[in-house]
Amino acid sequence: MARAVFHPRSAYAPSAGYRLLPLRFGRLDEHAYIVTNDVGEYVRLARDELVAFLERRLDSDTSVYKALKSRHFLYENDSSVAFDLLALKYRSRAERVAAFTGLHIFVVTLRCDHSCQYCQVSRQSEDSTAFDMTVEHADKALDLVFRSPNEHIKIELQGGEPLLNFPLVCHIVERARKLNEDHRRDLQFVITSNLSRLSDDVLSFCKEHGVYLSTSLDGPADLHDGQRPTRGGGSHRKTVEGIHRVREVLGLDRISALMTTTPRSLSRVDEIIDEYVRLGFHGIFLRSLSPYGFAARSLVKRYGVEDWLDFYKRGLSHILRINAGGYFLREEFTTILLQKMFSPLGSGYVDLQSPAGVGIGALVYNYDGAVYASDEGRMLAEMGDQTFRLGHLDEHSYEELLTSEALLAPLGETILEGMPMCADCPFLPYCGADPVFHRATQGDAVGHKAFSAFCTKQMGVLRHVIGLLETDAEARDILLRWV
Amino acid sequence: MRAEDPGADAPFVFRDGCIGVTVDVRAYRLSAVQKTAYRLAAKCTAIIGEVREHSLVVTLTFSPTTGEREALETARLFFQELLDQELREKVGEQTASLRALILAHAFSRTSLPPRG
Amino acid sequence: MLVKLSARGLRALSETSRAPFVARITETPALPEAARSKLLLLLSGEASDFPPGFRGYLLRQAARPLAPKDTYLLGADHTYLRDGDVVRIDPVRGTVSALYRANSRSNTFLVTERCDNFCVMCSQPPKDHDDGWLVDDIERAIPLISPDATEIGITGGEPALLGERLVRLLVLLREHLPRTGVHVLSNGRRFSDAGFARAVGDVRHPDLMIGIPLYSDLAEEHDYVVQAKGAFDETVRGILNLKRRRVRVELRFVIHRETVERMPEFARFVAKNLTFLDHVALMGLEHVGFARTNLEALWIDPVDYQRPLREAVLTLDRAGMATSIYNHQLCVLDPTLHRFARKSISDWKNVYVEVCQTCRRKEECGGFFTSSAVKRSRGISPYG
Repeated sequence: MARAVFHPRSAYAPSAGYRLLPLRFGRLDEHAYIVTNDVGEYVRLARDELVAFLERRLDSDTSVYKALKSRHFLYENDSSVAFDLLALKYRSRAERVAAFTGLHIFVVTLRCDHSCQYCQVSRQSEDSTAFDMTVEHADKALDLVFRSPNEHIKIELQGGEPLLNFPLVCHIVERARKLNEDHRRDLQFVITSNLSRLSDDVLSFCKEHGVYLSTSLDGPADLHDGQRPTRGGGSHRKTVEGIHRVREVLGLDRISALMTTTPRSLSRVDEIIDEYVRLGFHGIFLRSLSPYGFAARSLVKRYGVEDWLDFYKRGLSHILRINAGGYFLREEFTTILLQKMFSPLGSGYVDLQSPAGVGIGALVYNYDGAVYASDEGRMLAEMGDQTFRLGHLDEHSYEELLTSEALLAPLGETILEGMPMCADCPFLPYCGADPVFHRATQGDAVGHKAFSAFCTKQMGVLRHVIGLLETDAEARDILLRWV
Repeated sequence: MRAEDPGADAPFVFRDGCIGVTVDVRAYRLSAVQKTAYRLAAKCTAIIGEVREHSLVVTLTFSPTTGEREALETARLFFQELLDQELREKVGEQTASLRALILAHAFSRTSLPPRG
Repeated sequence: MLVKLSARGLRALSETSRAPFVARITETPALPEAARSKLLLLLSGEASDFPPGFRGYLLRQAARPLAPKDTYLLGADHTYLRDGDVVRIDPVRGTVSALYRANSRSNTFLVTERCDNFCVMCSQPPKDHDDGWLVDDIERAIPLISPDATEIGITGGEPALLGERLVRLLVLLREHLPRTGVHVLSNGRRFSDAGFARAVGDVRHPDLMIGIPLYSDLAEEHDYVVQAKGAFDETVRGILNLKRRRVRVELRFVIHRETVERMPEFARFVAKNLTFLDHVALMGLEHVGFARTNLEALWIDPVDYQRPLREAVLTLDRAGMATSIYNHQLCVLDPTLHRFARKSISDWKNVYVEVCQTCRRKEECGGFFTSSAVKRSRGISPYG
């Protein structure tokens, strides 16, 4: 055989010149800009690199050029497969929208034995059944659940304190499972409870039907009890006891917890996180207060979004230290954003969807038979604003509910690509519309983002997280493990 | 005004709670000015005047609580944003048809997504 | 045990067929006569006589006279042959080639030596000649193989250059060996023709995987490694077309000096764009063929690429992709990567070196290619 002849690298170099693919850009921090595209790819670069790139004079030998090319921000005449791949990625992300409503929230009662200051809806009259959902409404709601085409269905039983209406919880779970014998969906149940009424009956029921539990834990005992008062006190002790019993009987992964940030939490983020670690949790959601309910509004006024961002950043660095020390703990809000960045399917988190997750991501069946497009929409209704009420179980069919103006108007308005400022924002692929938030704070579902605390929060967190990913290798390693 | 160095030769004057800035409409299109004004709405109200020769006068109006330093900083920011916004408009022009093409491709029948 | 799969030394003891022929070996002389005509009877002991009706006879020991037609004495390189093997006998050249070995897990059919890539590290450098006879033999061999065979590989050259004939080969495999996994090694380019990809999908083979190499996230880098302009686009489109037809596809990335630099970016690209692939293999270099010719330019000690390798593997693993590391000894791999390491070297190509004798993890380790004596990592050291 004749000696093989190999051609040098230069023989395969693309011809000179490139063209831009659709992209958005903006300032990341004092040092850098970021470009992103519709499918969630991003590149961090200096401003002069950005300008050179956009003016189509960036040197193809630079690493930033290669990154931009690899991530489909530019293409050369020699290779067009970028279009095939972009189209495919776009479609994969859009499929989540097409998957339609997967989360169904049943408010089985408004009664509650707690009187938390940040709660918008609970009624403390524990013996009045006027605030319980009826069996008839539950059955009608279940029929709607199985009308949704989603393969995965999650039914969340909420309140008030849902265990105060445990017979209806049992009815819903048993009937859903019976109906599912025909429908054969992937069906999951979660009870959102403060665990004060966690009895052996409840536990054995959950065990039998594979039900998950979700509870509220605001931090160490004094903080938790201070903001979650209950008759006789001791909410923290009861919650912790409940967590242990659930784990003993049902298994370690069967319970999760949520915290809410109040003005009193702000200075105590490390303690709050340590409390979660002490109790063996591997996830914590550093949640800011929602501006719904009068009491909550006055709390929100006592701290601004900048305060929460500071709280979040301190918390995140504490969480990263805990991970570096060998204990796996992920921050759930960060994880949602990371999923949007790195998972091909994005994230299904209802509050961060474009178009808005309302109705598409979740449906809420209220105790009185009213149907809402999201849990926050229901809370807004408790304050007298019926914008997000889709209709009523007694009056409207599935088709009527899901084509009602209350659903379609915000959906149409909240496609981020069409919203002022959002349309140009590099963080768009990782963000979402929150029409209820903007309705509650600015009076319309879109809102002016220059005045939006939601926007400030999103940008603040995204800038911080991307900054960590790009400049701190150890943090990046930990963060990527959360996806 | 050179694209690389916004406002360098434009000393801003803060008077009566306002700063007047002049935009060369040969370098920046009106839509870029409007979007910049919208983006800075939390810091100032931008009143967009008429075009004379090639100049557009924009009056940045501040709330009574805004100090001079902050106002001058906002004027500087205005040009920085305007530059970015003008670049965005150019990128949009170059890529709008491609975006439509990719979308059409994404939802065409021949591009069914592979599923394991 | 190392075996020469095609070896001379066959001595005819009687009149022979003129043309080469393909047949299965049996060691059961008592088979019903009706079943004998396509079988070669292998006689190990001093058989007293020749049961009639077999296609031919292979003897391990010198025999008595009066042997029937096509009786041969096996040579020293033929001792591995056993019941169930399918061989090609060339009486004129005196060779026995094993097309299929019953006691091996890795049987591979070389279906052509032609290729439209010219990879700088190709282990089986292509030859541009008409070698259609290779497939003729394989088509004859397939019906003779035991349906219990676990896996058959199809390799080249570029098998997809066979076009329609590759599709027919897959149909033949499905019909005769429905329980046998089939692994095709292809550069994927021909599948950029959607019609061809569809034809392969339409075979509906129950256990088919196509292994396709991709060497970079950048077109020009891949094109350089495979020495073919435009190959990247064709390969990626080929992969997409195959997946649209629900054919399982494995990605194969060979690590050497020309590919190592972009390995992390490559993994990121795959995790983002090709998440639906069924498997990704990151492979060490086999020092044969062009890889040997170009070894000075291609060699990089695995010890020196553990960081990018780890980053690449973790990127793929986090994306939920099935990921494997092939052709690496455990002792040169970062310990966090051991769970991805597979014993991947074919049993007729692997060896261990002296220092391995005392290693307590030798059984878990894939060892070395016989060819890798040329260069060896400085990280080789036995686990005590």
